[in-house]
Amino acid sequence: MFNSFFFFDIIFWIYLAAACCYIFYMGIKKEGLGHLAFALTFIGWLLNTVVLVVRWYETGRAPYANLYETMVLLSWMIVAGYIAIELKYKKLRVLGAIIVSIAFLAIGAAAMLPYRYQAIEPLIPALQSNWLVLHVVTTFIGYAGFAIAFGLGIMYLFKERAERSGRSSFFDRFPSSEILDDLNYKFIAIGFPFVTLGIILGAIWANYAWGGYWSWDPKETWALATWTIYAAYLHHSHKTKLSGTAASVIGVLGFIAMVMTFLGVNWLAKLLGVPSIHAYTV
Amino acid sequence: METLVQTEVNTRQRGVLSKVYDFFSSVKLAVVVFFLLAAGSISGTLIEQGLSPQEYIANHGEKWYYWINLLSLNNVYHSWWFSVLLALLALNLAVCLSKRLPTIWKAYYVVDTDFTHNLVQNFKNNTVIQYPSGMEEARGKVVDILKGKKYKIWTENNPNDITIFAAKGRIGRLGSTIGHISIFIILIGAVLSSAIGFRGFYPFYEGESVFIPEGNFYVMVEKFWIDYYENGGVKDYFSKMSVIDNGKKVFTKTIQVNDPLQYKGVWFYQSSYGQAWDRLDKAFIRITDKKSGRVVADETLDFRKEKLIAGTDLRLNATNFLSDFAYDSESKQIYAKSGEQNNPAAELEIYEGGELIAKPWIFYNYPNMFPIEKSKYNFILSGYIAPQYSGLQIAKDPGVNLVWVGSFTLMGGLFISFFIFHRRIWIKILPSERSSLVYIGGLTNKDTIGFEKEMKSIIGSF
Repeated sequence: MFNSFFFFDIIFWIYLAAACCYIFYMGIKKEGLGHLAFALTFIGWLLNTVVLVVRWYETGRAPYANLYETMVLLSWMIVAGYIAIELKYKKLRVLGAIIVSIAFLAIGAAAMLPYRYQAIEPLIPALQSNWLVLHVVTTFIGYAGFAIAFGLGIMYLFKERAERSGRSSFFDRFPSSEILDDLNYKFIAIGFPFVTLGIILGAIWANYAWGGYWSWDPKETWALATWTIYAAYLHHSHKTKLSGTAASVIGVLGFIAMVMTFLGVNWLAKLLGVPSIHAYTV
Repeated sequence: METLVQTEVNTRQRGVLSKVYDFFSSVKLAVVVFFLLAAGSISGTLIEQGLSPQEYIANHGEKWYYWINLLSLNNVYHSWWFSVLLALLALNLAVCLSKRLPTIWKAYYVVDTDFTHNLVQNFKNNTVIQYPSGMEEARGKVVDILKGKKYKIWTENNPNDITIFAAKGRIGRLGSTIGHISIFIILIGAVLSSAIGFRGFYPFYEGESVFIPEGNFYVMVEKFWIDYYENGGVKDYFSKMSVIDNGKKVFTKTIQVNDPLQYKGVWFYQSSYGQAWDRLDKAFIRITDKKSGRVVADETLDFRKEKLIAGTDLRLNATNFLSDFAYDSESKQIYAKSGEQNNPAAELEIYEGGELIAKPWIFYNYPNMFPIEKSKYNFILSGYIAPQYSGLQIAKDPGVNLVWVGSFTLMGGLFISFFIFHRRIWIKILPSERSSLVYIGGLTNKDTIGFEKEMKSIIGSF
């Protein structure tokens, strides 16, 4: 009864409730609702931790070896990042409306996966390595940073338009575009080194397991594309004084590339027949 | 007059040169190259790489193949334009670095103690504090506070005032430079890898020793085996390998996926296994009488070993095998189209009455396709046992070490650059009636919000 799927079902509903509370909070700004939203988020995150731990116990290995498990890990990291924001900047609670929603989307997508993606399968030989832990954890810290930055970037794009139009609107509740831009940069600045480290650890592992640190496998290639797009963001946003809008658009593009890196390789294999040694579940 | 013309030419030349320099030192170029590299490499994941022209024409049609071929979309990562993009990136990087290095070094290195209190008031973060005692006491207070915040402090007592310069996290300035140099190192390593690195796949059969020219020694897979999970899935597979150098067995190691063997810089990785496509252990041959159709014999032949068939005047020898028989009409060569057992065929030498009468290929899937005219028998390949090979990836790559060095320094550079901020504080203490005036101003290269907080806390500590 109290297996990882049980706790997973609970966090699905709790994250949904938390995201709804944040969205209503943005609309009516009742502090009580904000506290409730944060409390739900925090409880959801604790239970998210429980899912990972129970899954670890059930599988007897690090609990992020398939798509379902990595989605649970991703939501855990996004929510952890969000809780850090809320504790640090108490006035920015409305950010939860979008960031907790993104975490909920990750859980929702995991819930919709066919059972064969969720089931506990023993590790195939290529994944039986301690590098799995290092490679996946660092990469997903980076992914979570990028996912949060994506939410902030989207908010920036709406807020900036609203600010320019000068009319009062729904987006008045958002923090100023300056703050959003600054936070967007911060989270990309966290995501970038970790994704870089994830790619490097992956290269070391590939060299050890497959005999080459880089093979232009679709997953590697998309990871590189993601990396270069965020590198473009960092160079653009800091060294040239162009608009924050352009920077946010680059950030959003980077996130799309990141999703392709994370999920798209299986689709490529299926739709276009381009094979990948990273497509573990077909 | 002449000198005037000369000067004009010079400025024009300098104009062109500086334009070229500006072009290559612009960050915009880097951003554009980043996007082109991203788009270019993605294209290689949308079109399968390294197929034959026929396969592209079959998959995409002749018209598209024209473009695929023209733009090297079948070999993106080794195409001229991809190399040009990487070279452009390297050039851009080098020019940018050379341009920015003096500034960065100055910001890193210079201890600035020569300034006026007016300059201090120019900083975005600045304040004036009236300190209710003498200049020396004020200085002691300032130094205490800044030490508490882990600043490095330089002070100078001038005739009329006291100058204090404080800084921390200045290594943060160098992070970006270290990171960019690292990318250079990685690129050099990658070039070395593709220029002098070696990477290949080789199927090993148990007991067969194979010469490795890259290291001038022999290796042998003594034994290969597979472990299964209870549900039938493959758990792991292993090769017990030995290295034979100078005729002596030097050492033995059992390798598996994720656990390779290394000798003299050559690495052996367990990468796959499968059934042989070009050899057999046993071939099962059924011999029938042409006239009556009666089975004369069911014989088991060892590969490449002649066998007398009892009760007949036949001698048979299975001399060759292909798991996926194919014929190339241009070169008139037979070959195995794949490693799969799609169209297994064996070549059979048939001696009748002591004389070689035929050497046909007989097909497992198509028995009796070509009856042997000269013989009174039909020969059918009714089965076979092909040996299992252990598929090893063999690699020797001196470039890889440079890549690791570059990766390591890149990580250092990134973390320094993103998580250590260079904060500088300029302070001037001027005398005032029975007290002193402390002018404080500060700058940070990143994390403005965090620095503002720290400045507030410093000022609040007076």
